[in-house]
Amino acid sequence: VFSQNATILFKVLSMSQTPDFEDVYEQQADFVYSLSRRLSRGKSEAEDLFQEVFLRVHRFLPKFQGGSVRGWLRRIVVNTNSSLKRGKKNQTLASLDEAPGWKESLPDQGELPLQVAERSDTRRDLQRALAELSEDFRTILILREVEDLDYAEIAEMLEIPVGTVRSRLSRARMALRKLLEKTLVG
Amino acid sequence: LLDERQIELLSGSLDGALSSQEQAELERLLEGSAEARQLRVELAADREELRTLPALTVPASLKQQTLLKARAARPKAGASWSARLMMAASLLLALGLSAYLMPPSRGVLRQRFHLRPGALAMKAAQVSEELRLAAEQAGQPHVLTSQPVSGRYLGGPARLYLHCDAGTTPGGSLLVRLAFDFDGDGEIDLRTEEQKLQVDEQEGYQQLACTWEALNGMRDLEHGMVHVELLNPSQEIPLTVKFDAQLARLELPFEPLQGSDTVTLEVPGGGAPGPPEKG
Repeated sequence: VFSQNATILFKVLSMSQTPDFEDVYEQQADFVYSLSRRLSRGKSEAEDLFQEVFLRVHRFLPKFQGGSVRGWLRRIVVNTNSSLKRGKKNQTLASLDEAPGWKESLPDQGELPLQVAERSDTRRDLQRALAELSEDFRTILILREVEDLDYAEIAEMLEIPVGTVRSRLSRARMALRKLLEKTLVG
Repeated sequence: LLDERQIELLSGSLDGALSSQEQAELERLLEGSAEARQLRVELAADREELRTLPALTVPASLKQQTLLKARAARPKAGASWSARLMMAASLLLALGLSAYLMPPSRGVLRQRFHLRPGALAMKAAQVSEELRLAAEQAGQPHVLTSQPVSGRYLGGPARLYLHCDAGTTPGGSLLVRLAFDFDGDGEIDLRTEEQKLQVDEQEGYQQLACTWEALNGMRDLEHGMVHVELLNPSQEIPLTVKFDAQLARLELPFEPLQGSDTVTLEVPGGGAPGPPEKG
């Protein structure tokens, strides 16, 4: 039996249309985590970023103006990442274990074992190379290739001219290519 | 060796970002340079690899830890003065209610309010005692009953989160259902399907969650009552239920009406059965 009478109070308050924090959290946590891992050099850095992002979301959600929640979150992740990085300059490179998300890289279903192994190696190399890129290069590559933003959207998010997006993206791709070549040679 | 301008042409072509003049320039470059052709293939392959990186899932421990941190954090901005005043008034009201409802000898409950815009949400207070659902009382539901509450039905699911422990005996389960007395006449108008939640044999509490997606026959609450019925179906395995101050809550698809400010869910002693069903 219940050991004694117990009372649970509950509260009803705001009727505004602001999204509920816990709904946003439940629906978008994986998205934010994925993006945090891609933008970070290592797992612990990504976890710090993830936590900081949701603390900011919690703080600023009442000011959310509507529109795409995911777009709003993406901007917070990118901005938070930049501000955290500014405080962590000169940090050492992450180890392989800390490379962004390689442990979670799952093979596509239906691939043969050899293809799986090759793909796994390729992804590991790619993620290690991403971890070695400068933050500017990694960010622009992730926004373009993973988040599929166009030049104008990237320019707006990073507050740089569209022409700079194009040239930076080009240099980022070449930097990644060189790192991957180095991995192959090594 | 390719220069920066040529590389930018190759890169821009991947994004379809070249003008017609640049496109013509690129074609001449590709025609005359094996290195450019090779690089374009490699850049396209890198791009494909990036685009097929799998989505990641946030680890459960990080997810829970972050949620607790966020809940514990106080908003630094956004709350208007009127909202702050309203919250302060509500807090005082709730503290007064708790003092009234709970004799001092049982300790003061510390309320933590969950504000869920647009929906009626019940956030468990910190209950100092755990609720024990004895095995020998199988078949007898334990009912948590709300105070009268009014709200406009919005449609959508109802959810309940609580903690339960079955000790280290395998096979424990908890049956949960909701009951609604829409007009507060003391008779149940609607009961949900019961949900069976398996309880593990690990030491300590386990968070359980259940969702009722389809709630046919729901309507507005007019000074109505909401009941949460908990049942231990086992004759052998005792259960302990806890309403954790941080994590337990009941979410109902109602828009609260004015006057439904602070409501209480009470757990009567002795595991009294719920009110009779209408009809």
